[in-house]
Amino acid sequence: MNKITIDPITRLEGHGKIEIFLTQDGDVANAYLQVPELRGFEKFCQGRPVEEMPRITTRICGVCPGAHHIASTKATDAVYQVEPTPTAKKIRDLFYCAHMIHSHAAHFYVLAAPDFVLGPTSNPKERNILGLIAKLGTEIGLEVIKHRAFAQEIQAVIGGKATHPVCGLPGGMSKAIIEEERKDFEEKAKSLVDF
Amino acid sequence: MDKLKLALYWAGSCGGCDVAVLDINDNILKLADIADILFWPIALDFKYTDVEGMDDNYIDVCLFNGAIITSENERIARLLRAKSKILIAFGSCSCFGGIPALANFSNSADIMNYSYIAAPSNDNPTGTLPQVLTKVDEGILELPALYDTVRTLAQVVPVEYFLPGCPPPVSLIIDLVDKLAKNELPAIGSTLTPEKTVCDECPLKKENKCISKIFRPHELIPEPERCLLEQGIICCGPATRSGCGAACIKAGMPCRGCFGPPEGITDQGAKLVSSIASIYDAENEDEITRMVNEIVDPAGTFYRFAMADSILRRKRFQEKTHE
Amino acid sequence: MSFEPKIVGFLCNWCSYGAADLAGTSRTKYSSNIRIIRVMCSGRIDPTFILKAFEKGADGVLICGCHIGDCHYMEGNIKAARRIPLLKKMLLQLGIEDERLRLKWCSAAEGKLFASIVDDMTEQIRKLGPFNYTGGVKDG
Repeated sequence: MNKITIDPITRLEGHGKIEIFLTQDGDVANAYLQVPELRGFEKFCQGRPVEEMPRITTRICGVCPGAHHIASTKATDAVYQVEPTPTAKKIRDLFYCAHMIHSHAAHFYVLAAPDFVLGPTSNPKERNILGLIAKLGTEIGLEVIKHRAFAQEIQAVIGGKATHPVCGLPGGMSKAIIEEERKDFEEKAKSLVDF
Repeated sequence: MDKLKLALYWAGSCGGCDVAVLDINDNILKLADIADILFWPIALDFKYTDVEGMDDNYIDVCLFNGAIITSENERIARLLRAKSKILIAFGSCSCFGGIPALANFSNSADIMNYSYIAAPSNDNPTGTLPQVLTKVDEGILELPALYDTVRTLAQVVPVEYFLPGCPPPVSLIIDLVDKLAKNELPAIGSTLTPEKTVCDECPLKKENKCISKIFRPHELIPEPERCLLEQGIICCGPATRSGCGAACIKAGMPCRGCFGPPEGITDQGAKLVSSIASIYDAENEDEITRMVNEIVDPAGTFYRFAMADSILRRKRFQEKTHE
Repeated sequence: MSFEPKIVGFLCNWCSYGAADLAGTSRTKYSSNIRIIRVMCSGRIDPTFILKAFEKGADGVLICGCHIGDCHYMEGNIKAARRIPLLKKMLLQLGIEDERLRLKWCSAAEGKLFASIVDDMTEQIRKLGPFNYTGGVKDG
């Protein structure tokens, strides 16, 4: 039986491979998506201290570490049965909103949009973020880059680092926001809403 | 000058290193000016067959992130080694094993069993586990083998440069792009960061290193401007290479060592045992025992990122037959 | 072939090396399983040395220093007394039994004590079996 192998799957986070088996007539007989990776977080988190989880589970995914960070932080709240302070909740929400903006911008422009804007029949060598910028013009490209950067910067100021933040603790956050930072966030957020 | 031919790859990793490359923001356009990117799974649609079709040494520089966990990681590491003039271990996983190397506390059978069967969120009554070869009606499917021991890139193939960090900070990536553009890379084998320790970069005040009680990070609200270690919070800064600008510490959290050991240190965990126990204010056996007990997970803390690069490399395989 | 444990002994110059010397000159019989490395002070033993010894094939590591209060450098042995228990805890997590690493105090007058420490440790490690450092690979 003939088969088409797509290896690796590209423009997503994670490893994948697709095998498509064809009939004699060239129709698809069956297709298999395979995930050729396993790191074992379920196992190796055992034995590590609870409060370290938000700093370990971020490494499940470097595109959406903010989600894992906040989820783990909430889990540590639950373990210690503590309610975060209203301020901590607001900072976490702010952080998470910034995370969503970055993650969606990265997903849409870098990972998915080339399929829609350049199209599935376009040259695979150009079907990517650089091809996208070439087609839409550098001006739009720079706007996208600038606004994704805004979201990353907000996360970095709150979380220490945008990718793999460290700020979540059971019942709170490790760092407060000062007035200057708040003003800067507000400006960036307004610009992000317009964008 | 011809454009540089560049490849980026992720082995056993999270994609954070690739996002870090995107985080150089408008410099990515500069990168595109000086280099043609020939392979980058997170962003470009090239396949393994494209790389296999290249002549040896066709790629000028390959930034390789991720640890070597599976037989596929090893195969692609060897492939990219052969095709690249310069291979750079990019990020902590590739340099030292990183977080995935915490799997070296375990082994592939236990990981498979827990992740697919024993973990409480699983629903797998037949106990199905992934197999290297699976026969289906249409043919045979093949998955890579999961290794018992996570390894660093340099433990599998020769590596020219190391850029650690989880992920490497934007400033160091931009610095690397500059050096590539000007063809000014340092001596082979160099780590592309400053040589000192995180403590050297840390803005907190250090006065008297002497601790009588260890606090876990959530047990104490630290004084904002004073060294965390002096306040009793375990911080890996003394035995961690600088280059991050003490980012985690500035966010109020202790260092966990993602840049690996500084120049001249072979084993980050052993050095942390030495530096932390040395500042104990404990004179008798009872006090020492109490302070040792207060560090709940020394191996998982001191080898958080550098387990695969340590002298022992993993939890020892113990003979089960021996009583 | 029966298993003969290899033990690396780091002995301080001022007390415990003297003890080993005394054991020798008094013709005290003890296990020949120990390979002695003289250091100036037990406080000089970097945990890295101990891991290196295991890497190079040791089945056990013995560290001997002056009794607490007797250190030639005032408190070098107290540094060792603080470091070794933390290292032991870390090594236990890495599958290395407590008995494979020992910290003992021995004055230059205690030749017999030194001999009995070595004998005792040799027998315990004989029971544990070889360390089998593999560099991370399962079958060596």
